[in-house]
Amino acid sequence: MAYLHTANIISDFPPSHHHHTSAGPFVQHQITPYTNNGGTILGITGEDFVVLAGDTRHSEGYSINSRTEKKVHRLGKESSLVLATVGFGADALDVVETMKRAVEDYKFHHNKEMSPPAAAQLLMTILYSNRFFPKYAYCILVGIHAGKGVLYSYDVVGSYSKSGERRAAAGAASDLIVPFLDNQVELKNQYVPYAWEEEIPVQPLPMEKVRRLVKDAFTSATERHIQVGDGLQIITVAASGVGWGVSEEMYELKKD
Amino acid sequence: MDTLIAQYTEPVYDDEIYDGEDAQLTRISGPPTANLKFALPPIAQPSAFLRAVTDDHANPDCPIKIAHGTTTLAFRFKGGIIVATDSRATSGNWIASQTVKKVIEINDKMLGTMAGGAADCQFWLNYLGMECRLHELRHKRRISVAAASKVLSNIVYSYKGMGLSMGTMITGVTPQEGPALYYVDSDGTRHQGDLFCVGSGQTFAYGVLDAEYSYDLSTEDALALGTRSILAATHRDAYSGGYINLYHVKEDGWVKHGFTDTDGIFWKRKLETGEFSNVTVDL
Repeated sequence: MAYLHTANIISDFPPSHHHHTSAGPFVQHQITPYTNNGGTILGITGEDFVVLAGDTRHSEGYSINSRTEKKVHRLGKESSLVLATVGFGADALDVVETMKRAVEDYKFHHNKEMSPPAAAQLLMTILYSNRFFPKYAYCILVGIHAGKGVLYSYDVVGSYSKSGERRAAAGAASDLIVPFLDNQVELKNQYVPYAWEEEIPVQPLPMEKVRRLVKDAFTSATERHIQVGDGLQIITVAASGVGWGVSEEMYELKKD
Repeated sequence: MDTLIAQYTEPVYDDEIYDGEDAQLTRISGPPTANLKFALPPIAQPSAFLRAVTDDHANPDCPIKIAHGTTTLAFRFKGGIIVATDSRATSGNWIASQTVKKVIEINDKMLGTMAGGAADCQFWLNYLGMECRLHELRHKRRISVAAASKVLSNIVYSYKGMGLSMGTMITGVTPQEGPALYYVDSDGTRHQGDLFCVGSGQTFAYGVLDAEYSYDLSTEDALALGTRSILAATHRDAYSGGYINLYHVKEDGWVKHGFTDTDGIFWKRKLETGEFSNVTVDL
């Protein structure tokens, strides 16, 4: 609740809420249904795989509620879909549960797994159905589509890019991590040495490099952000090759 | 509460399978917004609540920041319609994205532009696409741009005061209308016109566009003018930038003319034409 300084805003809006009586002015109270539970999520795609990671700290103000709360969730046992959510823990989990049920329901109805583009549109529909009472949950959805790793990222009311993205980060330390990703994944403002204005071409990164970038991003964010730390959950979805399928790696982050 | 929901709920069609079953099941089984059922906070004034948690002008500390800041333009000329936008999304001083696609392809003949809330524009222009397809199926002919834009403005007008934020231009070419351009926004405003710029950088874009615009422009010149107007806006408006997204709408549908980095265009323009002489560099 510390994050939401709503009291002073609510008290003067709308003005009609002020009722002056002999007992003095009183103010209509408003619900404050959101808490910022901190944490950060990060996803990077490769050619035929995608990595989605999130730290496992769950905090409220300066207090740490849990050091082992996972933010990255598979949406089905046989599905390549993986969803990471960050923001208000309860809303984030509700979005995950809703998606899980929808993916399962789709399989029962159509006897096949939901494709990532379909799941991406469904997630937008779910988030936008809460347009007037938003779920405070930033989402990154990944999966394998036609042998390629795909990634979609959303704002809280569901806007996303249909063509997907190469990388995305959301949550508390996203403003620390996104510039790092611009530099290391998109190779922004990087030029061939001694060649005038020749940009280094962007190419899909190998899996080991991606995992290393993810760990570097989170160890650095842990050093500089109080809401990031404890543990790192890294889920890799690979379409082919060694380590085919969905695998999870846990990596220790600093506990301070 | 139910009366509030009912007020903003307008079933378009009944779900054949789940109609009448409990709301929880309907919510996960069918798309929750196919019949425009929106969750509302359990309080008397949902719009005041929404404003308190999302409006970053009145409340800079709000937890939910909706991306803003844009320059979009569209104009009619003899060769059809040019549509151009920047690609930056900002929340506060943070650049949330430099690669937003602000031209929304409603179908293969019509385009919409996006300013204001990204999700509002995406959702309702997508919904408009569905309505346009249904019109085709029901009436065996394509919807006019006038009718399509009015469908959209009627929808957003029915949500007036609920906090929707969108400023959009609907464009298309139909046999009965020729090239048509409409401005529609979330206040319910709807205008037909030859030339519009929308967003925080609109004034800068108007400055260039008004000076150079003519209905008789060649297609090549018209495309260049669209690019140049957005470039001016990205240069002077801090909330605009990124890439220039350029489209040409013609009788047989729209054609995309690239998604080009403003940085390259800026330096090319400066070095080749001598414009932007206010920017000095030692090379």
